[in-house]
Amino acid sequence: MNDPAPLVTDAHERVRDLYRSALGRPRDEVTTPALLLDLATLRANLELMADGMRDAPATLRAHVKVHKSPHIARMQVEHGAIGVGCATVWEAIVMARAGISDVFVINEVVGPEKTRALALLAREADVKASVDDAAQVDELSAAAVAAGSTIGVLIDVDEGMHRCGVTTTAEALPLAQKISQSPGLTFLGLTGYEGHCSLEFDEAKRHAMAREAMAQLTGIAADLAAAGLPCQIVSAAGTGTWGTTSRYPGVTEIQPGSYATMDGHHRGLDPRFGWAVTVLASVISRRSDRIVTDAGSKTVGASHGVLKGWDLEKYRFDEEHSIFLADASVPLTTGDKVEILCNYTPFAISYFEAYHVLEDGKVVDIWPVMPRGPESRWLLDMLERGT
Amino acid sequence: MRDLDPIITAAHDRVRGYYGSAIGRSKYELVTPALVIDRDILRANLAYMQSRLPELHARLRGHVKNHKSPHVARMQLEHGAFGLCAATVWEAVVMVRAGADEVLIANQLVNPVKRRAAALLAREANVTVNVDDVRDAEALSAAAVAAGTTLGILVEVDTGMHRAGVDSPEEALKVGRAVQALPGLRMDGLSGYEGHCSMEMDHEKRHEKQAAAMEYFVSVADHLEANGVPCPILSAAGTATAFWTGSNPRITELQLGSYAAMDDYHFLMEPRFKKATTAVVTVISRRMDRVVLDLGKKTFGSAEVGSIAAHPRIFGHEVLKPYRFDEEHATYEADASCDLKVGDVVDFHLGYTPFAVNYFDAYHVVEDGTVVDIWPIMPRGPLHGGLLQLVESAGA
Repeated sequence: MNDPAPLVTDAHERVRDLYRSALGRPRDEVTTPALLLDLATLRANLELMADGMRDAPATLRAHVKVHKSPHIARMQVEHGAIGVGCATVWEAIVMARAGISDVFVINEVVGPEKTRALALLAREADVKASVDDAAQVDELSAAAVAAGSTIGVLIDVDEGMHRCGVTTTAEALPLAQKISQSPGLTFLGLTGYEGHCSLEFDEAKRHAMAREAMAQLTGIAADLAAAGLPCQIVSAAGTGTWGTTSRYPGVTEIQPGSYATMDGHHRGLDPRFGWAVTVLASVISRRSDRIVTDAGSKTVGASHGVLKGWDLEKYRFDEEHSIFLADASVPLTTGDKVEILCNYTPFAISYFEAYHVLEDGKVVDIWPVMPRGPESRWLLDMLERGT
Repeated sequence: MRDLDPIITAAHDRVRGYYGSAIGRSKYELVTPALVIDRDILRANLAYMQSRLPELHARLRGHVKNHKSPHVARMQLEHGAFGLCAATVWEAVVMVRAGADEVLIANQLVNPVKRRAAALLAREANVTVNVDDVRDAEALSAAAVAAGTTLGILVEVDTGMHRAGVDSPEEALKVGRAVQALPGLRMDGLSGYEGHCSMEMDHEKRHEKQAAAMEYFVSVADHLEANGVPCPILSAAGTATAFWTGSNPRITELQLGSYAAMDDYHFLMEPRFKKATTAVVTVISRRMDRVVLDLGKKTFGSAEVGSIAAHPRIFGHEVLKPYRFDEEHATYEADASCDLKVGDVVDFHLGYTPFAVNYFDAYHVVEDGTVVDIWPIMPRGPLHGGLLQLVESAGA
């Protein structure tokens, strides 16, 4: 792993400076709402995954869209990840500048600026992207040739999630042939996130679904190999299926992300991983039948959450408020701090500019969330300037 | 209205530096997903609201939480709004620096840092805050005294939304009396946003709920005034109830915000305001039975407001049924009769824009489909982002 570049170190300095008054302070003195990261729980999660992968035939690629943190990504690599998976080209730029050389945009990259950004990034890192259509291949190839770089390409396979991806060898083979003949591109193999399995909470059913999905994915890989296009990489899995998929013959790498930070949804799938990221909120109004906090759906996200340590029923999430039913037997009062356990943490993280990092209940560091927001064209300008 | 503060112009320069290469080009050449605001439609919405003000008893206090744009806020002030309304103290800081002389934080602050920020901000503008708790009022008083300022206070009344707000006329009187007696605070009146009416899609039922909410709200004011606590300000209303609430002779100010930038959710209730804020997106995958776009729930937030559908969907293809919304993808069912293909750049209805605005860095301002400016979204995210240091250093 390389040292982090100024893009990342400057951002770290910036948020440490903005929120320096919290450093060294106990949790309850942090201004709310705040995004909390418990370092010990994060480390335990990373170690649990490293232990689980030690005897697996597949390698670990850590997905970063969940946490958008260069710091967490580096810790994932320190705990055995060969590289990272990203949802956007902008995340890939940040992670490459965080010092991680193997970055895979596990998504279709469409649009001239995004493909140019990817091709320019491929000058400084081992860059991969996924495709499911010949038009994307042409665009990536033209961008790589123009930048004088090489982009690794994997074909996205829909194994039942019904989002992007080809479904059959008949679709995959001509695409693989086209990639292998396109200048600037290297055909690397297949990627197939079995995300539909992560919506199934019955463990036996979920793993059966994952095996079915892997049979389809590795079947297509075998067909391509037989046609003279062997797959160097067959990538799949999320936090809900990593155990099964990492041991499925023919799968070379897994791409989970939520295992590091976790949330309610993923704890329902794999409770061995602990809740490392929460949202700290204050009770700002105490009514006879409810409490109101200062963290609503603009903070926690569309999937809401529950209160840590309090068994209170959700009444409603508004933009800037969450409301929980609480009669007089609940000793919460105006000004009290509560932690919200998000049902789906990536939404909350995407709204914040920084994590308050806690160890033993005290703030020990502030880490930036990067990149923020969907439009990060300035990162392309940075690559074009060569800075 | 004062001039724009350097923090606003610096932010404007920053986003123009980041995204300014799009200026002069078609919105369909933008890097997607991009947030787009149509300046002509925005102006028409503001002008329509302004044209209705003379017939309304109440004044207009433009809410900003739904757009988070200092530029839109200034246009609200230029189009008849006497002041602004914010959901957070950080929004209030930005809007004062955008030039507002009057700002209401229509929310409880409670947190000591936020109380201090509001008290310090009162050195720069007339700042008013909601309270529903005597202890919160006492702490606000201490913060104002420490800062050497005066905070205006509205006692928040729950008019049926069941969020914050006192539950009874008696409780309102108790809090109002406490505020009257506290140094550094000025008892201005009552705040009673009837937000539950904005979750009622049926026009007649919404009107009934609005009338009941305001009847109760006024009765609370009567109780306070009869007991020696004058309420010169009664503040209420959202976009879906503004013309009804604004016609009530007792209501003195309206705190609506969505009327300016609008969205599909509010358009269902108040179609006299048009949708100025949309997104431009790209089709990134075309399967035989569906299309996949490059934006998802991280970008447009939720497909629902409470339990009500907000209808994020593709312009010109509104008939396509959503298949699923993921974090970074929106997938719609689309058979071969739909001509969308990979690489197509299309307009997108965001559904409920406050969620999207919460996530983007900037608006691409368009006129006749051409980008004419880039406006920053401020503040971004739940943290203060340096605004705390800004208000602290202002008087130092």
